[in-house]
Amino acid sequence: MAEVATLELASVSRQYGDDAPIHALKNVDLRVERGEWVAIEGPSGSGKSTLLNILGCLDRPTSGSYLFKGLDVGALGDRERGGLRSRHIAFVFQSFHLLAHRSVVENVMLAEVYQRGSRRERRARAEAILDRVGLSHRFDYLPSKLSGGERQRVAIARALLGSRDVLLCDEPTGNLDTATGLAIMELLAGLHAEGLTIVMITHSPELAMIASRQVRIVDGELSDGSSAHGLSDYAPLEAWVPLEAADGGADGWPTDSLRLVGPLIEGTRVREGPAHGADVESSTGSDAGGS
Amino acid sequence: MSELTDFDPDPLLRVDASEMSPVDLADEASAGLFARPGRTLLTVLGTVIGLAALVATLGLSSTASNRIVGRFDELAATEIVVSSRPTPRAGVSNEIPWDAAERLSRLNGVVAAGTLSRVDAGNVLISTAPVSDPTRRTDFDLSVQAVSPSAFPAVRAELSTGRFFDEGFSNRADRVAVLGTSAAERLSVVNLSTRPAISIGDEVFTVIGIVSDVGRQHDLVGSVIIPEGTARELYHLRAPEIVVVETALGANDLITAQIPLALRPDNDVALKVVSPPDQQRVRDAVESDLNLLFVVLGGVSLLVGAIGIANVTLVSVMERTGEIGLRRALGASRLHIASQFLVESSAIGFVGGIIGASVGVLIVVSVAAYQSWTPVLDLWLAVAAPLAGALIGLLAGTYPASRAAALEPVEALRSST
Ligand SMILES: Nc1ncnc2c1ncn2[C@@H]1O[C@H](COP(=O)(O)OP(=O)(O)O)[C@@H](O)[C@H]1O
Ligand SMILES: [Mg+2]
Repeated sequence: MAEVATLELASVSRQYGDDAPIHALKNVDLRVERGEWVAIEGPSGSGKSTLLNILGCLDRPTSGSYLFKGLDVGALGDRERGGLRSRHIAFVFQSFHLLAHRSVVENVMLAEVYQRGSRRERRARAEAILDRVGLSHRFDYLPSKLSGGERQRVAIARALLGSRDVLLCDEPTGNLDTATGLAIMELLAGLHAEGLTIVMITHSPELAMIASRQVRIVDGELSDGSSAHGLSDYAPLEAWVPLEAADGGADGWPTDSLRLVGPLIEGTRVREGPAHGADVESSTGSDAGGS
Repeated sequence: MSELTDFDPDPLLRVDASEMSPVDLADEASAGLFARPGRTLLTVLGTVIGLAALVATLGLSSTASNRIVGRFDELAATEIVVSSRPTPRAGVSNEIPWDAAERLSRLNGVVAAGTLSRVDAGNVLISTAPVSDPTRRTDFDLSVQAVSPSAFPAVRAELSTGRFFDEGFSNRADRVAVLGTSAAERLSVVNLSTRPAISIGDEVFTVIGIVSDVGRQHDLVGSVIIPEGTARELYHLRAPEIVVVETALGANDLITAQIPLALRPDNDVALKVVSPPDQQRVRDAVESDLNLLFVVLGGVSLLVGAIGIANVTLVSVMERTGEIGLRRALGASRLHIASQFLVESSAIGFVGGIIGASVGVLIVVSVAAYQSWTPVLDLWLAVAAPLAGALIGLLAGTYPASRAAALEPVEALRSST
């Protein structure tokens, strides 16, 4: 692992309000290494979004320190934090956040509006990335003409255009049906396999298992390595494939899709998810993305 | 996908501020405006009306006053009236000399000069002689004016028929008269071929001409005008009452200064010399009052337009809260957000200014064409109106833009785009 963590929070707290304050985060320590895929789980209102917003420099901690690739983010002003978000941090939201009146390719190009860079090449880059997420046939569509899954792919393409260091996803599949959500997870898995660092909030323990590491927040307190499914003895997972989720998951995932996720990186250690007793599959998927 | 694998592995030592190029700013602002074209158009309308009103009123007032300058001002600007001061100092006469017109016409810059005097013919009535229609009233109390022949051009008298009298008539003290057109009407003198005569008291005068109109000394139209020489002989006129001088355009001030010396070198306070600046100033004052009214009206409509822009921009900021949040997440600083909304509101004002100026010019040109006046428009209005519109938009956008910039990104993102 790299010496400098991509993201490093040290006893970060976030408090809302002064009288009767809400302690949304309490002394959170979190290290995210380069190339990791961390899933943040936890019940609703536990502080997941607050944590992600702080990681994304959209919000500031009340106390504690945050180093982004070794840089003390707390010392930066509004415009530098903007520069950080523009060039190093990418967001994917549950509700897509696409501009309704701009075409797909324009929505993606928006990611580079707040950077200095050649405008001539911006469109070409946006189209290449849309290709990558499987939307080469939708360049000039308006978002309203797209399905939910396609919209989230546009959002992911936009996230990838500007920033390469870390992708922050707040319930990226929360507005999608299970099959579509799973396809999005496949896309993320492919990007992760290529080296992208991802921090992802999810309600779904099954989806969390696809990440390389799980952390859990309850009442603003973060605990490493546990999951809703009792994966208490934490060991880093690079990939995890709940092949029999269709049986155990209430959602009834299509097994075919799940197989596609596959272990993505050579030498991946794959573990069983105890709740499902899933089979272990170890193979090398070169490109799990696309649709 | 090699382009996706070049994730930066190095520690970050410093980070550059996010930046937005002017082209991108213009792009994003115009996209924001074109996203809701109907509303943008309605918002533009306020500025259009305001600036159209302003341009039209300014243009119309300058067009109208140009017309006044053309017809009326030239007459006033070239006129001087000389009279004697009413109370003479003891032992010194204040009279205008008989040869005043002659002396003044020698001055360089005098176009015409003539003397005029009201004649006191004794309490007599004037009638046509012989009486043509005994059933009609034939006696009238008309004023009689004695003028030098040179007074006709000086007052810009126009003949409808006949002729003016000349020096010969005056020198011989001939009993001839020229009638003002309304005097002729009352005396029922129409046709000069019958050599009509009128009687002033016991004296009979042959009518040799009828004046249809005068540019100055309008009471001449209702008078019986007789030669000065005749009046001196018959009515013992002692001195001319006034001298009317027409100067060349621009020579007025100079001539005004020269008149006392030319007419009364012995007594420089004998005469009262009235030249037009007084009247001009009155007219200027009236005009600037009008202009002020127009400008206030235009200003009020502009204020309404500005409030419209401010209001719509504010609504737009609230509706686009999600977009603002997204832009912040993509790297926009507060300044970038504020700039975009300011550019949008300024653009609305600018376009409103262009359309408003065009509409205003169109109004001025149409009204002028209808009235067959020459449209007079300051060229700077065409430049100033769009700039004024942009400035109004900028000011109107200040508050909404500051609201947009103040939004916390996390809060803004919570509302959906
Ligand atoms: N702006 C805010 N003002 C006050 N309380 C807030 C605010 N944002 C979040 N909270 C509170 O902080 C806690 C954590 O919220 P959040 O991070 O959104 O939870 P999660 O994303 O896990 O559902 C919740 O109790 C929530 O009500
Ligand atoms: Mg949340």
